[in-house]
Amino acid sequence: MEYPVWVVPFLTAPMLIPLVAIPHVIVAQFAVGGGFLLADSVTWAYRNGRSDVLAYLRDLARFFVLLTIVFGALTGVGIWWTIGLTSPESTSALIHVFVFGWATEWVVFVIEIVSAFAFYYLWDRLRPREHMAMGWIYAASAWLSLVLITGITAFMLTTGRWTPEANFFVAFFNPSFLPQVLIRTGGSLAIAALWIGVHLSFRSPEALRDELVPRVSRWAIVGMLLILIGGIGYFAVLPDHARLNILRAPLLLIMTTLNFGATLVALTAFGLGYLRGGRWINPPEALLMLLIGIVAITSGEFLREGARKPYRIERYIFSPGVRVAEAALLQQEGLIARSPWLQLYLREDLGLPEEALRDPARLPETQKVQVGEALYVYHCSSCHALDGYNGIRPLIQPWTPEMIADAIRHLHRTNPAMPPWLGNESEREALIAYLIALQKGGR
Amino acid sequence: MPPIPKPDPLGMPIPIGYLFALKVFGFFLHMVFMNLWLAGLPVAVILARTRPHVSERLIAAMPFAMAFGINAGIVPLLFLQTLYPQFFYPATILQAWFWFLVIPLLLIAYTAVYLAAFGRWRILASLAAAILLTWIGFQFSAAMTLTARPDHWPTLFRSAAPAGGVHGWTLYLEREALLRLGLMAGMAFGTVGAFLALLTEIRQGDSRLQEEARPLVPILFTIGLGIFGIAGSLYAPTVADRLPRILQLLTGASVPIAWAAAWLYRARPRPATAIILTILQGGVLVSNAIARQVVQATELGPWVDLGKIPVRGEWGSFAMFVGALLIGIGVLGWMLRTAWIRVRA
Ligand code: HEC
Repeated sequence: MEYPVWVVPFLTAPMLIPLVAIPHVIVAQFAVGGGFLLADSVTWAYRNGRSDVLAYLRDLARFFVLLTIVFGALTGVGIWWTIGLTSPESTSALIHVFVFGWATEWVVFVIEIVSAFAFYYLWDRLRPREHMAMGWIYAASAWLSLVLITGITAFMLTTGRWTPEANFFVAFFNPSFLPQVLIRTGGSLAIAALWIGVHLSFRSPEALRDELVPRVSRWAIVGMLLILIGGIGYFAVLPDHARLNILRAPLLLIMTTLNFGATLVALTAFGLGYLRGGRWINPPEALLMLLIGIVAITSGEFLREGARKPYRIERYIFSPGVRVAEAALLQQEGLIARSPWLQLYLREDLGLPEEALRDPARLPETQKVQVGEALYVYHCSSCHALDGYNGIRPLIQPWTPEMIADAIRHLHRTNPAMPPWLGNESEREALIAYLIALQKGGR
Repeated sequence: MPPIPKPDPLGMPIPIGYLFALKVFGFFLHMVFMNLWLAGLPVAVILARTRPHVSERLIAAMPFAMAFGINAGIVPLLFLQTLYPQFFYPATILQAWFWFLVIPLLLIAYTAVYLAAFGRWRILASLAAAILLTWIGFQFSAAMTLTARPDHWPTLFRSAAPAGGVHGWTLYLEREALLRLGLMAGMAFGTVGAFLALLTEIRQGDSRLQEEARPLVPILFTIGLGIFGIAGSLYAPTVADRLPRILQLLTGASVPIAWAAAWLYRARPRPATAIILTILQGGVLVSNAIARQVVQATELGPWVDLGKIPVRGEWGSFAMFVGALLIGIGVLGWMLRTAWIRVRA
């Protein structure tokens, strides 16, 4: 509210977040699971003197290492970029609570990069024990990264016992932290195993496949069990508003179904892989399985993002960047009074007098609609595009002016995914005037 | 009064002195690696024919420079957002699409750097990366400059405010942003010079590298001194009142001192002089990182009194960070030592 609002047509600015975050989560989980499976396989290969397996793993490692260091790092930073642009209040809050969690993650990340480089580039220069150690350091640091970041993302969904006075650890060990760590750890093992399946199906001689597929599948099954346990815990700790969102929103229901379906299919495939060895794996099947794994992760992330509404940070910040504790004040003093950028626009661009900023409903119709439009930008545009994602125009198209007015008076009751009205009465009238004009095609 | 949001009500995690120190430290680290690509890529492209060995060495080093440079860049950004969120976010939101584009462009540049390092379209890929990374450098300069200039926000906002929001297609093309990038580029040539000197003296058997690199080092420093001198003489008058004399002197003098050390190295090319040169170039970067912090704090001084913001006292998580750092340094030390021994063998 105190920050300028970036208006992204058709998509809404916050929808840029999943655009960056979902590829990142997929790659990051790849990296974590890949690190673990690589370290495990390399250890096994050295112990059994298998130079053929080592040669194969080297080829595999190149992909994992490059992918993590380049794509994983950049998209990870990219998420941060995007949330700063789209929800500055929440990003600032997260940074102020978790700054040293992030700083710790940075240390872990340095170790991850160095060990990954050493593991790959010094493949045949390191002694076996050193090489194995590098592999395990890489795996451990990648996993620690996952744990640290999960604490922060889980906090956004379930703040638990945290209050603004509480410290980092209360925020970090929030109710959905452990379930999400289990889910993501399991997901990492599974997705990495699926990728190795693809790789094996293209690259390796069949004998190697028969040995490696069962090995990898065993870990993947462990991963699937972790997902299962974590998943149960996750739904158990989900706040009521989030559960309600999932049940009410068709898109989220579809995502939930996809998520469960994909998980089951993957589990079956791992079971088969384990029992029957690698001969069944051919490129199209392996690719299909990988795709299913990606669908599972994507739908899961989408669920987590969608279920959070109307909060950015549960019970602390509403989606349009208003702290829950300040809502009553805004309803009294008005949204405009709390938004210096909106004031700048109304004063300088629209040339409105000071009284109008407090009581826009008394303005002549054209100006009232203009103020309403600006209020829409600040209050609604983080969840509704005009047309496009959750488009407001199509939503209100069939309505009468009375229905529009009524819906805005009881915003939170209209749909519990929406915050309460966060402005004064006069502002509400201006917004209603704008929406009615919008529906009539006047804007 | 520019539309500056209030400081975050959660308060500062720990006293601001620590936060500033960490920010400056991170920025120094970031500069070391970022300089390598900022000047190293253009140098590698230009010298591809005349000094192929140097060019090849630089291109091979780029993936590492990028990995660590991006990683180290996280630190100053993290503490910038802790200290000055109410200045940083508006400055980037006003240029939202350009700021957002940094990520995809960086991804392309990074891929190009790897292509070059793996020997595919070496020159073309390096050139593409050089152009993209220079643009990104400018974008950073613009974002950081605007962060410290809230008085410029209203004009930018009003040129880009559909219905009071921001469309994000404005770019802060200010002289100051260009000059600050110029200063950085000037220092970057020195950093590349120091890197080449160090590399040459470490790889003692590499006579081709010695032939090509040793005479090049002072040339790079001279180019750097020239760029820094021009950008500095234009920039200095505008910040003269925001930077204490002693820091002005230190930042101004450190560059010619390092330049002189480059000629010393040319006269006596051996490990000792390469190390001296590297340390002095490190001094250039450190004094500059401190000076930039002081300028920023002075510029924002009139708009916010950081001393008045309450401190949360996040000592528990701070201790966790320090612990991780110490363990990390130990692990890192072991890994680097092992790598060093095996590479030399
Ligand atoms: C936190 C996100 C969020 C915010 C902020 C928000 N909405 Fe919504 N809104 C939703 C969601 C989610 C729906 C459900 C859409 C659906 O059912 O397809 C919705 C539905 C609606 C509907 C249709 C209700 C129905 O029963 O069909 C209207 C009208 C509406 N919003 C108007 C607004 C207005 C006006 C604002 C600004 C004052 C606003 N919304 C702010 C998330 C939000």
